[in-house]
Amino acid sequence: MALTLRRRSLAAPAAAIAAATLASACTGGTKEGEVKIGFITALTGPVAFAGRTFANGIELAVDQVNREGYLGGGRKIKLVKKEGAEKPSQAVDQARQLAVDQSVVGALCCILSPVAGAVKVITTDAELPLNIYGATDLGLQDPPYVVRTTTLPQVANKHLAQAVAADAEPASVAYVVTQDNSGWVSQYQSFKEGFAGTGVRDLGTVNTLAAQTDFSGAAGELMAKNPEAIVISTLQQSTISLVKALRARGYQGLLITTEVVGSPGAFKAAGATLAGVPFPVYFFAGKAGPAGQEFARSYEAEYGTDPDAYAAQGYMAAFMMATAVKNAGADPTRESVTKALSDIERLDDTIYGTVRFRDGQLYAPDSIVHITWTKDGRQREWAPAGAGAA
Amino acid sequence: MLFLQQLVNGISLGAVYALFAVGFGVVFSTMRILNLAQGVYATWGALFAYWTITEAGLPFAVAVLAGALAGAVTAVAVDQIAFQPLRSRGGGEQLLGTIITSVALWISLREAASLATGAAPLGFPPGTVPNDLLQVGGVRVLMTQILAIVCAVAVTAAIHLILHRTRLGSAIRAVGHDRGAAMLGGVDPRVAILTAAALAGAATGLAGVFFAAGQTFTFGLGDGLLLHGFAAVVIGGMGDVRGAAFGGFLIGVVQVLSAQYISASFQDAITFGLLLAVLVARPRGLFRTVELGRA
Repeated sequence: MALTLRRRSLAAPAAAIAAATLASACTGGTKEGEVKIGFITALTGPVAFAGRTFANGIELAVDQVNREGYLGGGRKIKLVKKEGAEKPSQAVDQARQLAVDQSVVGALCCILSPVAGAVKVITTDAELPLNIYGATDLGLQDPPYVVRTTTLPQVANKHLAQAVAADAEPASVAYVVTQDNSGWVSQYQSFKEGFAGTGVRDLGTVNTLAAQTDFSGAAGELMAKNPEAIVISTLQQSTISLVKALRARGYQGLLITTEVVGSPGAFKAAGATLAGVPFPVYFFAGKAGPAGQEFARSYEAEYGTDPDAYAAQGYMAAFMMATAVKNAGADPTRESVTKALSDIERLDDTIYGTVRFRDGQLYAPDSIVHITWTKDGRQREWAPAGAGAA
Repeated sequence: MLFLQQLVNGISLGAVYALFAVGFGVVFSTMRILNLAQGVYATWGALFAYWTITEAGLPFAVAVLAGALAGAVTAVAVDQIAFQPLRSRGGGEQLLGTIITSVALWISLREAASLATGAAPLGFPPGTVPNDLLQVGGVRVLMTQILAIVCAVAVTAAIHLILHRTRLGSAIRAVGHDRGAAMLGGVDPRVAILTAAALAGAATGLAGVFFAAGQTFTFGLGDGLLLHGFAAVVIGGMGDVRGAAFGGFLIGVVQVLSAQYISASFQDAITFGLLLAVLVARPRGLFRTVELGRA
């Protein structure tokens, strides 16, 4: 009897929830001209410094889309923000909240690959189209429900390695990698692929760990190999610490790294030790086309600083989602936005110039620029000064 | 030559662990608190040192003192906010209760540091840290590494002398041994505990400053120090600051040499394997100490 009563007492709220869910599902994605796009933010947690920059780019794009009436018909995008802190469990909880809200017709997420991997399972189950804006591990995209506008660093790293081999002509190279992070291993391998067959002698690899904070040993091991160039494929903090440790110990050779040092925050932490260290980016205001120049101007006006690669990636993610919403018709639903995202094969006049999509992944190889910091904290295109012996 | 180079690197890293372990050991032996919030004292020490240089424009020597002071103030504040109420209600002797309390403080102070820094990586600006490079034969030693080693030895010696050669030190040890008996003997336990907390916090703050010097750090700086510092203090012994310091130096050397000659992937496994081996062979640490199981 008690069990029956308990069942009855649970039945009413369960029915109410089901009815509400069904009702919201029938309302489609629009409400008073608003189209809701979920945005799992990372304004707190371990990579909040990057999360803020990605968010700046996304918010700027949405403001611009709404201001210019890009969607047509007086419709506007409303970002439904959920703080995931780039922690898998928290981000998954937020993804679940977005998944049950049927008025949300698309989602933007994820800087870290493990977080993206966890979130995409939830969104795919809910048939909620997801655009990954920052995670770099290969194969994360999974169309039709998961696409990615992250500009792949692997392609850019290989490109940079080939340019360094041709222009700076170091006789030898050593590598250092965060070996317990698949994303960084993948980036390290792309550098190796770039140097393969160029005649640059591979002196070996020094492994570090994601949780490692002291790099005196790694620096000593690298310098003992006496390479003319060192490729650093590690987390941002590790990269800056390694650059500092190597330079402080008198290493004079060429240091090569990834886009991870491209943010103003990275230069603030590292200072002039980053001067002359080449890294590849897809967006550099100094070489951008008209749309990129306009983005740089708008970003500087809004946030008081030049946009970096992360801001550009955020902007591009929101712009692609807006384009899909626009193409999805007057009353966009998850289904129509999913189809519209999958149908995008090429976008012209973006901040990267012309970009193409293959299997849900953005490609923009023509946009890659090799840049470096100057001692006074500006970015310029990299030109080899010659690789000296260590 | 590479071995000597890495030995120096290990000793200098061990010096940081030693400073941390000394602080950790003082708190445990005095208050019977396994304080997992100790790591964030190092974080806040490093942050205040950083701000002393970047915001106030003061030299590194002042920043070091500011870091030590910040560590001490944080430690005293944590003790008075979190642990004193437990002690006053008779719960201060319960190891589990204080551990849970210290975890809460750890997370709170860590998130506060995250908010204060925007979770961004920070680094002392070039030229503000004495990073002269000394070459002894083929071995390169940075001035910050030398300073860390000298500081660790000096602080360990100073705290040992305070604890064993002064009336205040005797009072601290008496409170650690039996608070009730110490009170009957005329000792004010609150003064002894606050002094111990301040000493521990200052040593931990210094660990944070020297850990941050010459590289980048984030609000999570103290987390790595906590695990290695804890291993150091268990290996060396919680009841003797010299043992804790020795454990710190040993952990640093083992960590760097194992990464160089065995595998960087297993450096932590080797470090904590050493901890297990010591616990099995000498449950009370390499030096004479108190036992963890005491409540």
